Amino acid sequence: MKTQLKEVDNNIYNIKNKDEYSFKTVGLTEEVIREISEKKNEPDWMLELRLKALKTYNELSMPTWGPDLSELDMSKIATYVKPKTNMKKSWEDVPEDIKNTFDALGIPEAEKESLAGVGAQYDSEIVYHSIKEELVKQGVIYTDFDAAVKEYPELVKQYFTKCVPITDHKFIALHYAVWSGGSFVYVPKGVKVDIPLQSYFRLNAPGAGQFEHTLIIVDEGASLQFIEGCSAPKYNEINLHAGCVELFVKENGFLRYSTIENWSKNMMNLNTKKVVVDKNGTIEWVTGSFGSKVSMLYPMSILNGENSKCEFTGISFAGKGQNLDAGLKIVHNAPNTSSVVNSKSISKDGGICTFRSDIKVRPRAEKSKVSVSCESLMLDSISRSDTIPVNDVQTDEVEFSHEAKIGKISDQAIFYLMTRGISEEEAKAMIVRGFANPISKELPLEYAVEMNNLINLELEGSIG
Amino acid sequence: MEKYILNETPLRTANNFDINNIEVVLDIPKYKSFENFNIYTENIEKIKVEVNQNKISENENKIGLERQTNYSVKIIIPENITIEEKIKLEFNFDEDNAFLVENIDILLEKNAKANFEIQYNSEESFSNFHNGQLNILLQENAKANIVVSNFNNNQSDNLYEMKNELKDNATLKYTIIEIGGKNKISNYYSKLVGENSENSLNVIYLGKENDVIDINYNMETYGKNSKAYINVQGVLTDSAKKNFKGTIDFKEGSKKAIGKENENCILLSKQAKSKSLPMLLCHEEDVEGEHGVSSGKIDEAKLFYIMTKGISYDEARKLIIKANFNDIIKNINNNELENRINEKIDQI
Repeated sequence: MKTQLKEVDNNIYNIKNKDEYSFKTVGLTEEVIREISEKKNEPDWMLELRLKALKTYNELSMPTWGPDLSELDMSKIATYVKPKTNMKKSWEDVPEDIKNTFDALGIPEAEKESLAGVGAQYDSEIVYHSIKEELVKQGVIYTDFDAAVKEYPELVKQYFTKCVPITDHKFIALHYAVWSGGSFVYVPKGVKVDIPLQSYFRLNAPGAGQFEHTLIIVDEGASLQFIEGCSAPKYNEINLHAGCVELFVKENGFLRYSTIENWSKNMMNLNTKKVVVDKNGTIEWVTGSFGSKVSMLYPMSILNGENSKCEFTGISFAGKGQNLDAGLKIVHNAPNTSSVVNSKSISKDGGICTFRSDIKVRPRAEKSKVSVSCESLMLDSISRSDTIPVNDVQTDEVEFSHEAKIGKISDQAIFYLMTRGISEEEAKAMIVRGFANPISKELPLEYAVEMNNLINLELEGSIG
Repeated sequence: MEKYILNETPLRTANNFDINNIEVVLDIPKYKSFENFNIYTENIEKIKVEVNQNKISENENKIGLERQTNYSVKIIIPENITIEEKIKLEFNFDEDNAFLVENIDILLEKNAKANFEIQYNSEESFSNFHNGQLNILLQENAKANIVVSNFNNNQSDNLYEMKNELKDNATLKYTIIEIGGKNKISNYYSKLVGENSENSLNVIYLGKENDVIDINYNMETYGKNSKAYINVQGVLTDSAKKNFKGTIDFKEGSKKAIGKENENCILLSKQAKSKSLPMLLCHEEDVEGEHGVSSGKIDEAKLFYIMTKGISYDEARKLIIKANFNDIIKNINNNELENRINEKIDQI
């Protein structure tokens, strides 16, 4: 029995449009930053913040751990690539080649069928943004981040850099120096957004960086599901993604943040995500990492309020030439907080998967509970799979458990399936999909299908 | 007094996780000689023993503190020789022997079997400094049982480095009783190069007052069907701090290797701090690896149950700790040592 999933078009992620832009800066200097700020016609405070971030970037050193980043040469990265269009509110107005790319990725179709709003970024700027009218009536704001800076300056100032400070690490300083695009979401008190919003980030320009900023505030008693997708065609040059996601979940609020990342395999994905969760609030992270040459991604949850909760469900799939260093950070900073982590990884064809985490239970987080489970699957012996979890317990009133497993596909399971008339190749693929199932079942249907497709794509010709 | 950065993990993680190494302030005394060493064995004629004082160590140093040894012991168990009775090495600190930087080399030749007990004692109340190294080489089919006990007093600094290499079918059972010393810094590095080689490491640690415990264990599997087991049970009270860094590293080619790692830390005070980094590194498809760590206070349901039998809270607590350590202690099969460990638990 063959899988019932749709056949995958191998090329949809690799569509290359002509490298056309209306404006472009290369490198990272004060002059470049002033140029970006001027083009964006930004308020002075934002330029000052960018220049301060550049100074911090130059002061901070490169990480002494994790994957090799020596191929990254900031003097060659296009730090700002303005597409040849402004933001549109109708797909019909988006230039044809750009629209075709998003069509192939299924974004407009998904918008019609299952989303409450869509943002589509192409290189450094959002080219399309929409939100359903009924959400606007309820006071929900969903707009591109550049527009938010101008239209909601007080709200932006109140939250911008407050979750992820400029000094967090070198690549976040870089982000703040050259950020462009991204989404801004505000869900007012008590409003439940039942249908997800989605932002899709597409990087087309070779040798470019994408530095979008996403800021989401889920106010008291409100709830939101937000989906983020990313992809790029493959070039020979190194591309860079150093985005930033700042999330705030207020008292009794709920946020599910899902990411399907399929950057091309020349991408350095050095992204930063962080959430601050208040009393009784919940953050759920669902993440699938398939693409990029190098990823360093550790979403951080700060459980600041009593009874706040964090659930993390993630999968990484590293193939040839990929080094995916992913994991999470959680700080339990209030009584009765809880976190549940379920992480899986698959390595094949020389790919490297590393699960890296730091979970802290602060002295005041009495009666907190932490449960971590990691599973890794190796599909051959030229690949690597490492688990590097730090567990930091600073109080006795805590239940902390961490377990991890590493191994291969069971020969017995393959043999069993083959006795049922299933080919060895399909049997292995079924087992890998089964392994990933706890993650894919957490995604909306379309994205679960996309993830399964990505798994099929990755497995093609690699096993069996 | 000087600050030292010691005991680097085999693989670094983010600096702000604060676990890649340990920063300690040590007051290292000037080089002195050490005399209080005893070896007890009923089989001295069957084995080769070489004792030297004041020898420069050229061994690789994983803890990272410069060493100029003042004592070295080398023991060889020749091919096909089995020594059933334990060979006991005892280093006793006193005011005139308060500084020890020793090397112990133990070699078991092919098919040799032996049991060793190595003990460090300093009962009196004075400060002593210990920076030891124990190297074990097991040739084909050799089997060794090693028990290392640190009963130094609570003012001492205790740094200890253990290195093993296991050839085909060699088996090494290792137990570490990490009780004494205000700074307990240990490094264990085991290379399972041989096919079917097996190393099990069982550890008990106990931290109180302002003790700092930094444990860095690393087992590497190279041989097919090699087996690496790490089982660590500990208790922290008062303001003791512990870093457990345990690594099982499956190297390419170690097909069908098994590696299991487990750490359980009981916290008896709000001020005690437990940090753990149980690493699994894997460069081989056909292996089975798992680790688990847990931290927390004593199970209240168990405490309550024992107290309903008329046992006081303090006694019930000690009983549970002893029960947690029991599997490891019973395996040592040494009543004297068991009593000494139980005495230390009673003093918590």
